[in-house]
Amino acid sequence: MRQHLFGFVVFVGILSTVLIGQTVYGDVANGEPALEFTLPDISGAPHSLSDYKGSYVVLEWFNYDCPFVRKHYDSANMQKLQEEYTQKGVVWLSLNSSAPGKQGNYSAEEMGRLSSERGVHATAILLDPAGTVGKLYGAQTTPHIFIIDPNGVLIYQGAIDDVPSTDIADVAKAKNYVRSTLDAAMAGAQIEVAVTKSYGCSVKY
Amino acid sequence: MNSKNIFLCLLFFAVSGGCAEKVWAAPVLSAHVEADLISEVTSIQPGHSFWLAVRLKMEEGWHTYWKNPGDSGLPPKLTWTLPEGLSVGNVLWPFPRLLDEAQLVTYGFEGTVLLFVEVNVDESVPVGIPKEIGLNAKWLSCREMCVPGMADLSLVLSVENQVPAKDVSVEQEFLEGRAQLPRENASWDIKVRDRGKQLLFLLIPSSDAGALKSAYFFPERNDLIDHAANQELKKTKTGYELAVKKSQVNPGIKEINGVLFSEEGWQGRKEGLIPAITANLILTK
Repeated sequence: MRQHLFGFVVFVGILSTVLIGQTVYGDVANGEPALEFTLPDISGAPHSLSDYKGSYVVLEWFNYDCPFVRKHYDSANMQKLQEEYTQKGVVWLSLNSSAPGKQGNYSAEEMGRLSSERGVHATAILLDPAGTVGKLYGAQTTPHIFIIDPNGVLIYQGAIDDVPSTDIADVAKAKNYVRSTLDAAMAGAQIEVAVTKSYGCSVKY
Repeated sequence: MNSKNIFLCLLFFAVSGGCAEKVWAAPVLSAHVEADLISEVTSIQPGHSFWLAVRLKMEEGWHTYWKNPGDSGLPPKLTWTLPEGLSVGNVLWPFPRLLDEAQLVTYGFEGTVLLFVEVNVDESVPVGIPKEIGLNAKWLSCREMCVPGMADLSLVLSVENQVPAKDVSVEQEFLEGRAQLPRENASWDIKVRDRGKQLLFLLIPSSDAGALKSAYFFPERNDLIDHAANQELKKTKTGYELAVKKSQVNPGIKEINGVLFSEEGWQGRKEGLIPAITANLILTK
């Protein structure tokens, strides 16, 4: 019994450390203007969200080494979505907020090579090793998706699809929220699901 | 499945007319977790249910997740292969711990846990023919990074016309494992009110409940609350209030199910600490 009590004490210790600290995440609510940011891409060129006013923008948080992200990249699901929607004029920004030394963090050159190898079709790959933009948006997992309309308003945030798993076989079975949100928004139809709980590995701040 | 064990069992059966012993495949090590399927009993009886446990023994520093994993991660998924006449109930989960994953809060386990499952045995199951129970377990093991794990486990149990005997080699383990399961609430009048951005739990103790200094509500649903937010416990005239911040998703549901944890225990320390009770409540104004 004593070892259980010890476990509780440690547990409560963790509880107070984690929870009495500051809230780490931004609370960006749907229906509100998405927050402005500027980040460099893998060639060093800066990109600001405001550069893309007038277009739909997808923010996709990624980490190539995370099994949940790999489900979508190994299956080519992510690359297909990127290609399909950028061809329709959507701006697709892939963001990496892994801190230096943590899983998923790579140099701009390495990231370029890895993206190339994967046939990534994003408009730009943005590097956020300080985690500023990740924390601004409240990106908790990889993947984590935010979709912004041409007026700069956030219209979707959360999971990429409705089957939280690492199984490639689930990609085809799942309802994809990027697709459902953009298809509805572009047709002027009601977006049925605007907020979901994202799933994935934790962002390695 | 270890075919040698099956063969031996069937050999015993052929020779002695029954397998007095259960046989099982060896535990499987995958993704830093040793997974095993253990039975509380050495044989089973038609018309009587019995308990199994899925044991997950995690290497130091690695953790797995509760049914609601919190802000990231994935709970274990169990897929059973059962012979005719056997069926399983829902998994009983030990109460989770808060895991600090560098600024995210997740719910899960370290060390060794048992996930309990009750197996029902139909009256019609014939005596004398051993039954094999198969389990495919998939989970996510994380330390700084995550690795998916998988194990194919199985167990063969003889079917006998006598009350199943407890397996003494796992008796203590089952006892300790059961102590980790949340209990039914016996000493508190608990309600939950909708307060816009918060769920407000009203906790009124009966005389045999102890005093609380802190409490935490672990919801079953992944999209109900802000897992990282502080849950403030306040003393009131009649008992306590626990304020729990809702999540961004805020699904408009009325069933609030989960586990209430308190280090002080829900029945004081008199009869042994009960740190976790189940909460199955309806949200009211």
